[in-house]
Amino acid sequence: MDKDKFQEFLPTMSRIFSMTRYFGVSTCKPSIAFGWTVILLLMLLAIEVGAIWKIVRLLGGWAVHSTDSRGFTARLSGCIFYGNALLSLILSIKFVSSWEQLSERWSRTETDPGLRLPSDSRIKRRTVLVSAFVMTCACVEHMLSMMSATGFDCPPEEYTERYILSSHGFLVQNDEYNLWLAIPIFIMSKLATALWNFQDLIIILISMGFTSRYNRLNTYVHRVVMLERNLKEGAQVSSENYMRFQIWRRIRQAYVRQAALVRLVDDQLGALVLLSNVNNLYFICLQLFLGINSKDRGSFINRLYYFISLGWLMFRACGVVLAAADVYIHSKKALISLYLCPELAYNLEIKRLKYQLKNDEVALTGMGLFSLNRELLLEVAAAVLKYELVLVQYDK
Amino acid sequence: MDTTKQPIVSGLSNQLEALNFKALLSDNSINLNRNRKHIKSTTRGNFRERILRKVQNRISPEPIQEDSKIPLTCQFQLFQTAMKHLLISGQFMGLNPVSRISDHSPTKIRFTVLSWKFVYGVTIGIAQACATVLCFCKLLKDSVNIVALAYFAFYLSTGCNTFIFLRVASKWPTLIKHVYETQLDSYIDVKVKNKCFAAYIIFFSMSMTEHMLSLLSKFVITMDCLPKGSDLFESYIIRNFPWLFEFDVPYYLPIGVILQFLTLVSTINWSYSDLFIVCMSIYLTSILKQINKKIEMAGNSNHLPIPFWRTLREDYTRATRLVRSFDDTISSVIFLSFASNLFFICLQLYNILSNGVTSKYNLLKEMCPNYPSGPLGGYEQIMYLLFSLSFLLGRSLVVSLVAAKVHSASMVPASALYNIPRNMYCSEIQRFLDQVHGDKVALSGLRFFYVTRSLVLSVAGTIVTYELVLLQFSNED
Repeated sequence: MDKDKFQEFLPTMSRIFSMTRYFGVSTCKPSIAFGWTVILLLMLLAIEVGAIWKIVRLLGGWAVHSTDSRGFTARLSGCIFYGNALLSLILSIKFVSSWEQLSERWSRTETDPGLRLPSDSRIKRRTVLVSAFVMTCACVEHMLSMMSATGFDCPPEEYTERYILSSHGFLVQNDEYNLWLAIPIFIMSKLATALWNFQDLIIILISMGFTSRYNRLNTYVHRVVMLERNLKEGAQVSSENYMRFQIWRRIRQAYVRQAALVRLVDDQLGALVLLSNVNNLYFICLQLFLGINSKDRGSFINRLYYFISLGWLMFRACGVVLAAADVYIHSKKALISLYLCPELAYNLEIKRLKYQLKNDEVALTGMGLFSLNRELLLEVAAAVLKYELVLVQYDK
Repeated sequence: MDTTKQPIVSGLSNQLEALNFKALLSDNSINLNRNRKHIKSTTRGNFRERILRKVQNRISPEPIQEDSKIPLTCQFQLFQTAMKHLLISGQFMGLNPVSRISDHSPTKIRFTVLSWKFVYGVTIGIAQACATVLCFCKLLKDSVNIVALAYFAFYLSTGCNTFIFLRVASKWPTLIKHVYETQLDSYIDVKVKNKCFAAYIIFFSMSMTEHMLSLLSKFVITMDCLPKGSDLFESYIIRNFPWLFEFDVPYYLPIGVILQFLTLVSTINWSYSDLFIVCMSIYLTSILKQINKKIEMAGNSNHLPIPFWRTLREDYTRATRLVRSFDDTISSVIFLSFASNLFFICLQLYNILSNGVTSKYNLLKEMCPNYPSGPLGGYEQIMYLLFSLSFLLGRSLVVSLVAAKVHSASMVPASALYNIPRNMYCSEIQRFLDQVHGDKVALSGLRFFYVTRSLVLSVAGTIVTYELVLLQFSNED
């Protein structure tokens, strides 16, 4: 059916959200999935409290070991990693719970203005491709991390012990290790990685949905304007003024509704955007600092893991900002077509639409603190460079 | 004070227009009680208003007030009631010495140099200035260390605060007059009172807790190392005010009491300006939010004619003028508050990150005869440091976010105005949109920076940069 073709994006997203139940992101309705979510939440909270306690011990001067992997940096990173996982889980649950309402509002925005917009046939394929790509890369990176933590020459019975002690040294000392502690930590580390990638994935997918919708609106506007230009003088898209006004009024209302929808989703997603960006910024700075400053590079697998994980992190962080920046860019693209509008066809509705597109800032923001557009990427890169230059001097 | 004087002919047509649209309006959800409230005041009202009142009585006999139980009828009364506790407790610390500041009649509020409040404020300011100078001398005498720098900055910022509030006090009667004359009586939100009172209680209680913890930790340290037979209070005062006693000033009990009082006043002063900014922002944001609510409700109705939008736009203009007027008065307070918060956060974070939570004294403590003697068994200093730092961070964050709400609230009308359908669109709406987009309505710090949400991010970035640079000093030690 025609209608289904317009709205392929929303069912795809709903299906993706239903698959996230397996790593704890589910709606708030009581069910088995929610029970699993609560268990995961409590375990993450326990790990986070443990990590914070270790930091307080270090600062208070009671820490027993404070060598490299148990020093302040390692403890802080562990704390931030699990803190991010905890907050990300809570915020994702909130978002997924409100997704039903949001998608209803979204599909109403799609059908309301009564315009026959061209459909975007590739959005579903793109969504699935992007999700699969992110998941695969996350799995590859995590497997490399596991291999890098233990090395290749590890006897299987010692595997968990060596893995936990080397990757979670900030949490578990040599003498505190036991199997009952190791297995939950093992599961939680997988979960935390999955959540870290998922939060970026949500933002990318939602931005892609908005961009596709704006693209369709812009294409429609372009077609109408071109039609008006190509007709001979005197003839118009419709011979009656009323019909022309109707079409432009519907177009303007479609843009207004779309802007309102973006703002509504932004209210729900804003905290996740902020969390994701801050977290990515911290870990990029940290990885660069550790890479530049470390003297002992370790084996080949360690170096390979370092480069792949840093590369994947930067790629994902840039991907999030660029995808979200596309929303802002596409929301203003119709202006170019509107400037081409011939004089005979120009009317008050077009004037209002131009004013609105020029002045209304429609973008995903991080809780209003910053707005995601391409300039932000440059500013963040400059900030990262500045911090690295300062941190590099620690060694000297 | 209604100053619109119109020629008779256009006045009549305005009245007819107004009568027309009030007759058309069938839903009472939009508050039309602006004119109704003018019944009580004798200085407002003219022939046109009285006609409108009579018509309205016939159409909608039930007045729809925001909250019919509270008798607050004008902005001035709301402002005075909400800010009463804040302003009076400020005057106990010599801040904002305006006489009869909570009076309900604006003519009685006056700033005179000869009042005892002014003299009290100036005395405290001079005492803080002397303390600043002495701390500076001590800083020059010894090398630059964190404790001396902290004392110097503390007395400097509280001294500047006192003098800045004196300046605020001189502009206060003008500000109050503007609040009284602003005709925004239909945009009263009575929840402002509760919010300001809640903020007041929270800030004061946390500030007092911080002061108590500081006193406790200092007394405990003194008690630990008290040589037998000496007076506790005397050794406490001599140990904790080195900037005075190292210059061979003899100790007397009144001096000790005065110094203790000065510390108390300065500590509360430190967080008072933040509380002041928060309360003013809450008040201004409430007016803008009420206007936004009215615009949104109007956008949902079917037909509202041009005079309605003109009135709404003029109300928005009056609200922004009020924000500007407040900004002119309190921007120096905002500037000092942000600057001192930034400095102290950097200092405290550096202190904690480089030295850990233990101080040099804690290492010596174990050699003191009476260790440990406090109720918390030796952890008083750590608790005080952590509490002080988190209070400082929390305060700065709250002030920035609440003050930024004024700016965000002023940008909200745009999205509702874009949605106005064709039959209601007119030049007034276009003017309104131009105004919303073209004007920057925000509180500022002496116009050096505007307090918006992006400011929070840039301040956080600045703090991180400075910390990273400063921490190298501890590595080189």
